[in-house]
Amino acid sequence: MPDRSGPPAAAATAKASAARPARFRHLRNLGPAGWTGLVFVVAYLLVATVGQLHGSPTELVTLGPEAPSLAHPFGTDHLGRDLLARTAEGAWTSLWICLTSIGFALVVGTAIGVSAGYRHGGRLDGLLMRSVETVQALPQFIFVMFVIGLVGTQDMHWGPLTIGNGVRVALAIGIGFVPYFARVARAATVVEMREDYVVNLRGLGVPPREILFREVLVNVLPPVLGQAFLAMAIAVFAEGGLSFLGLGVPAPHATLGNLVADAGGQILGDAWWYATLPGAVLVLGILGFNLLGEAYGSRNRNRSTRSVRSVPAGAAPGGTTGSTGGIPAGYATEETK
Amino acid sequence: MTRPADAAVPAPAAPLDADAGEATGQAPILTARHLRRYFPVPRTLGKRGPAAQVHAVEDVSFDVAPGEILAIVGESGCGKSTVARMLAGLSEPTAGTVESDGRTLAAHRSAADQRLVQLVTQNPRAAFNRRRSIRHALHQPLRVHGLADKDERERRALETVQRVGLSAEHLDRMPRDLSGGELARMVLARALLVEPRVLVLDEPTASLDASVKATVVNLLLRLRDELGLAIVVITHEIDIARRLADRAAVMYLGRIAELGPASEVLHGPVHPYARMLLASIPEPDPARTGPARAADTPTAVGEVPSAVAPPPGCAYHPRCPLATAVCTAEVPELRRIGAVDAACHHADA
Repeated sequence: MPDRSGPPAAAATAKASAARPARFRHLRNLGPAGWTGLVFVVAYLLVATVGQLHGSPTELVTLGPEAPSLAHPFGTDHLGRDLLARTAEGAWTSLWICLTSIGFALVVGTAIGVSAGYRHGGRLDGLLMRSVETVQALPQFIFVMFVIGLVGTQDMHWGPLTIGNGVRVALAIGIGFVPYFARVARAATVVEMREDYVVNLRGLGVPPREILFREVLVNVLPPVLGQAFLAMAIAVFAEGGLSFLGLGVPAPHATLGNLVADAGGQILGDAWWYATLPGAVLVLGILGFNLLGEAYGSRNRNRSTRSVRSVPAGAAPGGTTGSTGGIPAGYATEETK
Repeated sequence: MTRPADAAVPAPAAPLDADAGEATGQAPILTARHLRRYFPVPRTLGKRGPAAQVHAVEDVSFDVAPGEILAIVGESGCGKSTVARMLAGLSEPTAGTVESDGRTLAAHRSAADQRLVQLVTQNPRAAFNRRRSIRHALHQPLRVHGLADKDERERRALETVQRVGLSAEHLDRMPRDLSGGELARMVLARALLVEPRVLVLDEPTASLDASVKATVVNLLLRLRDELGLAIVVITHEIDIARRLADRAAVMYLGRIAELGPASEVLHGPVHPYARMLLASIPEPDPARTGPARAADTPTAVGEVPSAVAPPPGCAYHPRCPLATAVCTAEVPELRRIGAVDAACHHADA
């Protein structure tokens, strides 16, 4: 920007950061809470991967419960299975169930929310939002328990298709989240549709489909993605809770929830590691995604306010003097260097 | 309207006001014919009876010829912006039509008709999608109208950007990286890309600094000359209108109070409302422009009435010092007074 006022060094930094890929810029703006969240999530993923390389989650390696040692860093459970391997399997299971459920809720919820927001105040808006609120009538966790209670936890066979309980848990959690995403997407869409640029695009003859999915959607997604991180934390928690209650993925598959549940009786028998270590990993996941979500959300808010504030401070004075200096002399030569 | 009330049904192509295109000698490119727009007032739950309506625009007619700039002035809420949206096909008139070259533009315009009239909204900073680059914004209209392939789009975008006094470098920026003046010109560039014949500018200078205002005004005058555009400028800034307009219309409560050459309407109007409007402009330098003329101008009393229940007869009569019994009973038609058309029972040149 040749006409930007301000020290050259600052301009150079701004230019360099603009040129760098967006991903790294996000990292720098995370803040302490965001960094903590990131470290937690990385630790969670580390346990999930390293643990799977460590050994088999079902092999009986000791005669009974053993405290953590070099050979078995997380100790072993009441059947003598390596707890690190089981925790890792559990962490993976939780992760894919959560990703599937959030992915499902994100796609379905955003589609519903954007359609409802586009028809704000219309019949479609009412129909979509009222149906979504039906799901919300039950507390989310109760809703998922209700669904799993109805269909049972055994594998279902539909012709050649076998549907394990993991998929059903994922879908049930996902459906439970649809209202939250739909609500956020709808609110953002309603705000965006009132923006001047939408009127301008309509005036230019841009078809509504393109306005909605290529212009409005890019502004609706950031708050929805922020919601997704927070929902991820809740999903890890919900999956753990369901497995703890025996409504999640059934044994012998390990999940963080059923590990903690199995450990319930063992804590009194001096096996402190059995519940504590898988529980700690569960906490890492919940806290990590939560902090990341918060950091992402506040970064979005900061960015939108900053871009508004920078108008009088940065761009306007430089641009204005440049324009008025150049224009009367000749339009074409102005600001062309 | 110049047409007497008892005249035969007009031929569709007949210009509504004879002055249109006087300067250029061309037939009008855009005609607003008896435009009306009512908005329903949201009803309180359980309240019965017919819904109340805001009479935003009430029987507005005018012509614009190619190469002509028509200014529509008036205070906030008089229906100026609603007229602009109807001209651009973004708001469907409750009654009346918008015509171009003697052809009525349908309520849902075809892609080609949509290009014909381009609306430029008030705030250039809000006119671009903040998460899309300027290049994307300028390519998009060409792409959706299938006007050019990729290389041709880039060439045309560049050409148009240079026409408004910006450079290729601005194409790579995001809207937040441009100044208000640059954005105002970029909005014009985007509108010009679809090759419109009429530009409708809704308060084009309201959100700009004084210095940038001059830039935009000069640019508009130059575009009019170079491209033969017809330009409708909606504004409440009388000085901007005086600088730009060939003809001017003064609106009050959804109706045109006075319509005619800008030199008359914006300098020595005959309608009492138009005279009050001009007299209420603060004079920055009385020594240069002469003393304030409020003393010899009919003054208005009271506030603008509600557009939900506009007063019967002449909408201005409750505030007008000239009002008599006929003003409360009959809606005044536009009639020729000197060089202008004014809707007043009592005004005379």
